[in-house]
Amino acid sequence: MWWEGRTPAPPADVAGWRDWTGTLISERPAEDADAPWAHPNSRFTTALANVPNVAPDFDDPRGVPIDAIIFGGRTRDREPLIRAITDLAEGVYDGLTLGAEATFAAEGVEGLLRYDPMSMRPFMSYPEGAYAAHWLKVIGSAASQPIFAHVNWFRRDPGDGHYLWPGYRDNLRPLLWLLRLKEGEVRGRQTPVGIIPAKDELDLDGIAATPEELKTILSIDTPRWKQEIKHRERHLEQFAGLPEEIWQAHRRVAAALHRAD
Amino acid sequence: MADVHAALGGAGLRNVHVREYVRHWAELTGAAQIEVISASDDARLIGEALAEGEILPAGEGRYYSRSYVKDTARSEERTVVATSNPADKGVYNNWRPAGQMRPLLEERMRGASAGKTMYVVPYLMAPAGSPLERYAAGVELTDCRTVALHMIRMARVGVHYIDNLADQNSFVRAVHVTGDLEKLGQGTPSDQRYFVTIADERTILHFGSSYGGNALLGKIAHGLRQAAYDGWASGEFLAEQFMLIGIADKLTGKRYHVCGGFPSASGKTNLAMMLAPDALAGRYRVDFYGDDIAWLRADPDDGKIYAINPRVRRVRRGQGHQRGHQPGCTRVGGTGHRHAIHQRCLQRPHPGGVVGGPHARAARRRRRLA
Repeated sequence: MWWEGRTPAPPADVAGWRDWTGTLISERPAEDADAPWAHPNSRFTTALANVPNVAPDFDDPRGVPIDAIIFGGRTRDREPLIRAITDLAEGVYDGLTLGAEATFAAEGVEGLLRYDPMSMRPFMSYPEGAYAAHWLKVIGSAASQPIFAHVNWFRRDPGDGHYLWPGYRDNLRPLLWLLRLKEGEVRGRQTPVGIIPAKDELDLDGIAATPEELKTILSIDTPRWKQEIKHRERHLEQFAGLPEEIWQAHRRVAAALHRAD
Repeated sequence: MADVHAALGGAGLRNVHVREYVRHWAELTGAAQIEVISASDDARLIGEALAEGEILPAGEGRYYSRSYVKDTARSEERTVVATSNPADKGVYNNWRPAGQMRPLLEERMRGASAGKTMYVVPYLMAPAGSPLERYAAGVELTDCRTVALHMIRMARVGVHYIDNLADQNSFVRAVHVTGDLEKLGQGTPSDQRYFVTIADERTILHFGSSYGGNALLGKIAHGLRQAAYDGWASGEFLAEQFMLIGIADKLTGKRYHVCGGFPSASGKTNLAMMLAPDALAGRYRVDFYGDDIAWLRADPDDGKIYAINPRVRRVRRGQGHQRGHQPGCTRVGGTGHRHAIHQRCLQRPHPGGVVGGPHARAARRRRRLA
């Protein structure tokens, strides 16, 4: 068994290998020679106990206490590595305006996200206004509030397009900063769109990112954010009965960006 | 026609509401036999599926199953949330009246399981004893054996989960009928498929696919759509497409938990299966709880938000999770782990592992599908 990407190159000897449709690789027509061997949706099902880092208490019926709720899209130019949000309505607002860049430029305006509220767009089962109100109610009923944050591992260099953050295992670093912020061990730097790590607050031991790259991913592009606020307004206007707290959060962020000029 | 009561009685299934539900759908779909499944049936079902060529061996404890070529994704435009209240219509939920959808699905499902076995899969989408347990019980009826095998890997499956319900009628009714996959017009104007959650009746009716969440009704259909609706209707909880991880600080002994949502292709599974970078691994450990669904509730005892992953197993994409970048991901599907079922990846029959009839049948089906 082999997946695309499991090893750098596919098996060298194609004898006997069949692609996901069951066609022998050696008998593929010439025009399909470069087609992927595995389907993009290829997958496997296995027990959690087979996951090497499965939590020892994953089956605890009570569940586990949540310290932080994070949202993360795929954004090339605007979103910093992490921005923390301490206000419930602003956290829910951030989830409702979560999105990823459209896969194809033809799908939409450059820089316009395909919004995917809380990543639930394909799974939403009741109206969005009521959904936002239910979030405010359930999380708001907890005496001990989790901290919210928006993360983005996909900021790119405006010149050559390379990813500015190594991602993968290094994504633990901004999460550790977030937890330290919640514990009051770091203060961060307040921006119009949340608190971002101050220089030297991220644990960067052993990381291969240049100071210039780090400076970019820990900066707020105010003009792009103002553009985004207009897109968000149109996105949220679709939802009947959106709680006033969410609109207030939206207006607070918009006003803070305005003042940042 | 199947002898429903004999089959259910033989399995020790006593819940009268479940028995009536199974009888109704067995009659409507015309299934030839009824078989009640528990997790302990896994080895036997694997043997039967191998003998029929529905799965192929792929190394010790690992199996390969191939999808019909036009049945490899969820279909958002064919997925509907139905209720009896027009006020439930939102922007994204593709709402339709329940009174319109139920007859439409019944018409498609009528007689569509003729000659097949209907597997009765009682399941629980939460750890037993969870405060949300009453929203977690369900009974999937499916006419596809590999769906039953996947449900055993994904959920807690067994008769006792529904026979011991405090409210015997409080379970999700989840009906999956495969249909004739080669005649359903997938993606054309005459598409016959429908994936419907009748949320205010806690009923899921999926017709026309044996793929992932279209067919394993415990996860997306129940674990997300139905559970989100239940959480809202009861006011008790949120059901979200969230990953859930723990971060342990070995120096201080503190443990933290983080959950969150990421649109597809934004790194959610990689984050959930993250290992600490080498330079920090001496101090921190990341624990995996889930990469797909979290149910969140406020606990009145300590005033904190608690999360569970309702699934006990994982179903994940293989492609694109590269060994060098994220060791946690590839090890799971890689060598050394048992009881994994792989789908739609590349496959070469294990040397000497497939012989005789099954191989010939599988080859015939491959030719037909190609």
